[in-house]
Amino acid sequence: MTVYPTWRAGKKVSAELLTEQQTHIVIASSNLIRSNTATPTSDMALSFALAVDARYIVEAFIAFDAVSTTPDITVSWSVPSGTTGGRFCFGAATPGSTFTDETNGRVTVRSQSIGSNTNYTQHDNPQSITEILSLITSSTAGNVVFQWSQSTATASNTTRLADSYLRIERVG
Amino acid sequence: MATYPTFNPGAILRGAQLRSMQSRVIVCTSADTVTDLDAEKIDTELFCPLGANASYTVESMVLFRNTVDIAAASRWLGSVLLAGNVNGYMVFSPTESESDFSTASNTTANMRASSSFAFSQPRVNSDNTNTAVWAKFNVVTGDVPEVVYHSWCHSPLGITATLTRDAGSYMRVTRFA
Repeated sequence: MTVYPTWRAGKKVSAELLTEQQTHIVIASSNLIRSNTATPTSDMALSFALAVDARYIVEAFIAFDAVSTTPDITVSWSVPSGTTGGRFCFGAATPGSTFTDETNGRVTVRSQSIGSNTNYTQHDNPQSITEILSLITSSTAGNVVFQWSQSTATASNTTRLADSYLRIERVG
Repeated sequence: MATYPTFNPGAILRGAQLRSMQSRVIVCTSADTVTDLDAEKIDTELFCPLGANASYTVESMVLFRNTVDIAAASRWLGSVLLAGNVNGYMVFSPTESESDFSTASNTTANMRASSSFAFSQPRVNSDNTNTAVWAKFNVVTGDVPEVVYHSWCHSPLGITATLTRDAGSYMRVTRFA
């Protein structure tokens, strides 16, 4: 079991330590549109710098709109070299033909390796995705970055919607 | 609304107060397995002590994989030895039985409130779909300290197969009163 930082009697309370204890929120302030690509690339609006030899819980709440049932969305993550952990995926998974409305969808609940691609589907309405990462960094610093693309490359747009956000808590 | 601890103007800020407002997090660094186990096994890592007369929110992400098609049961418990109330479960998990759950992209999820639940686990070797169970609940302890832990077993019981709780699973416990 870990906590961060470690508070002991007599320890000086500093702005730096209090800041590190706080939960950090990264909100995408604008839409990001992609088309004609099926290879996930970094979405730098949803990125956060990680310290070395540290532990984090990263929660991602992503909204997207693929315009039609064709392109959908594929997501992945980039993390610093040597980082280990787990990944929870929760989002629409039913093929568009049976995804009849926004209240009658199927979702996937699965684990996935951090850097692997996970596909989510869409029919008529914008969709939301929740992913959670538990990360243990090693000696290499770097960012955790949300990555995405269309699942099927097409000229019609897939949009990662504004106000999608990451919630990052350092826990060790 | 409840917050913990209570800070009073002019009072000395104590380390214990700062510690008590931190979430306690366990990130599993190794896998744990059950094989042909007909009784719930207490998780070797997802195990957290709780104080007396306190209230906590508990959030877990438990990752599973196995080698054959079986169902599994996963359960979160307050201490079985001491008094305490576990309330307000919210669970996202695969359903107990789902014919479509043999492909990675077409699963059906449970979204339910229950302290004990079963979910299906597809074959790893056939489709590489591992399973995740996301649970949130709160625990109100009594006059003595307690523990909250994860336990799991096969469901139906007695199947000869190895069910693995993967590394990277975590539990976050936050005191709010």
